[in-house]
Amino acid sequence: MRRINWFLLLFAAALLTWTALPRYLPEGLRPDLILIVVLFTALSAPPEDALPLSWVAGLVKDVLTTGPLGQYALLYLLLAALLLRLKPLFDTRAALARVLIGAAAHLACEGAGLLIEGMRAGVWPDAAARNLLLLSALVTGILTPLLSRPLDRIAGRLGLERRRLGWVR
Amino acid sequence: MKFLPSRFGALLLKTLALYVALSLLLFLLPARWTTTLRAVLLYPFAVAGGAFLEGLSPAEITLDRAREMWRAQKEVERLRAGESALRRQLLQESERRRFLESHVAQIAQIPEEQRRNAVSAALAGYDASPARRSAVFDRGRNAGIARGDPVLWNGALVGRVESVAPRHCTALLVGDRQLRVPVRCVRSRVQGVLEGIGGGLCAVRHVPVTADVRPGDIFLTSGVDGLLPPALLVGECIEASDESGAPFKWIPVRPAYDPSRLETVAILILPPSEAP
Repeated sequence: MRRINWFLLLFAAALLTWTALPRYLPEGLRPDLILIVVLFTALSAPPEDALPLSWVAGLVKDVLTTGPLGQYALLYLLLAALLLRLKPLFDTRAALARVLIGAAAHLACEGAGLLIEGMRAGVWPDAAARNLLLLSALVTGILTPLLSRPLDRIAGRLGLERRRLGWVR
Repeated sequence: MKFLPSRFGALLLKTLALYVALSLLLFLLPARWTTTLRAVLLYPFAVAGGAFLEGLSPAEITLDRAREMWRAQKEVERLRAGESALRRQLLQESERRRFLESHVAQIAQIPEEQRRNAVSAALAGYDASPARRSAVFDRGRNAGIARGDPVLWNGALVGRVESVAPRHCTALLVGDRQLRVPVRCVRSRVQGVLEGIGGGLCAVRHVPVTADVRPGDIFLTSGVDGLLPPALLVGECIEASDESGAPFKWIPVRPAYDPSRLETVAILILPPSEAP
């Protein structure tokens, strides 16, 4: 039940990122809702579930983009692992912290994606693409606390906050 | 700082290593395999995305229509406001025009030879006392008006200027007890003096009982006092009776003007020699 809920959440986020946002947002601006789900998962779900689920979320993003399969899966996996490691260091419930985490994560993942793409195909982003990337990262950062707060509230119903003995949150 | 217990840390590392390996494996897969895998994985998203967008279309159409209706409503409100403003402006213009026309009409009804000495004036107020009949008009000494000038309305005598200020004048109206006007009956040429008797009526005094005056007879100014020009319409006889033993007739007269309809009048400016 817990994973079904999570998959539905991922599916909805992927669908919105893939259909509605490109339709209604200005050209090129792409806030990453899948990344927000990954951040939510890494910060709220039990650690033993966070890594596989983040990897699956990255795989879904890989499917919905034209880059190499496994690219975002690897990036989101590493991001989730990093967040799990750094989570005790700061207050992950603070809105500003979430804004910074969301923007930095978006910037890091998309930047790494562009780097991989540049290394593979020799195509590097121009200034306009870089500006759009920064703007998208900013929007993702702003959306992170806005969307993850409601998700935090329903996390219990989604079954994502199951505590296990021995884990320190 | 809190750390994860070592047992679970090791488990995490194993999980991480497993999925990193899986990712690298996906990287290294031949293109035809990844294409097939991507197509299979994309299928549910394609179906759901298509349905989602298909569901969005009617919503978008409805939203567009609502937006158009909202804009149309705003446009209608704007046009209504404009129409209302134009209607008000039209009313004001027509009122102004009617006002000017009434001024011109008052002057036009004065005999041509006196017309150049006439000024039109608008009513500014009535007498506050019910026992008196006077009115204030908005032209005064600056317009050349002097005490004693006759005030006309549609060619009929309304009254006579009693006092003058630079920008307004006060006139005693026909019907006031203090205003006496020498008059003559048009039909029988009988002369008398018109005086106010209250209630908006006047009476012609000093007419012998033998004089020929009937109800319906018209009285004009006779001009015998030299103060008012002759032949100005004054009123209509409504009764002519002889009281037993009285030397004069009782002749009440209805003035030829309607005080309630007074709006603009013409004031004849008499030459200085004719002024009282």
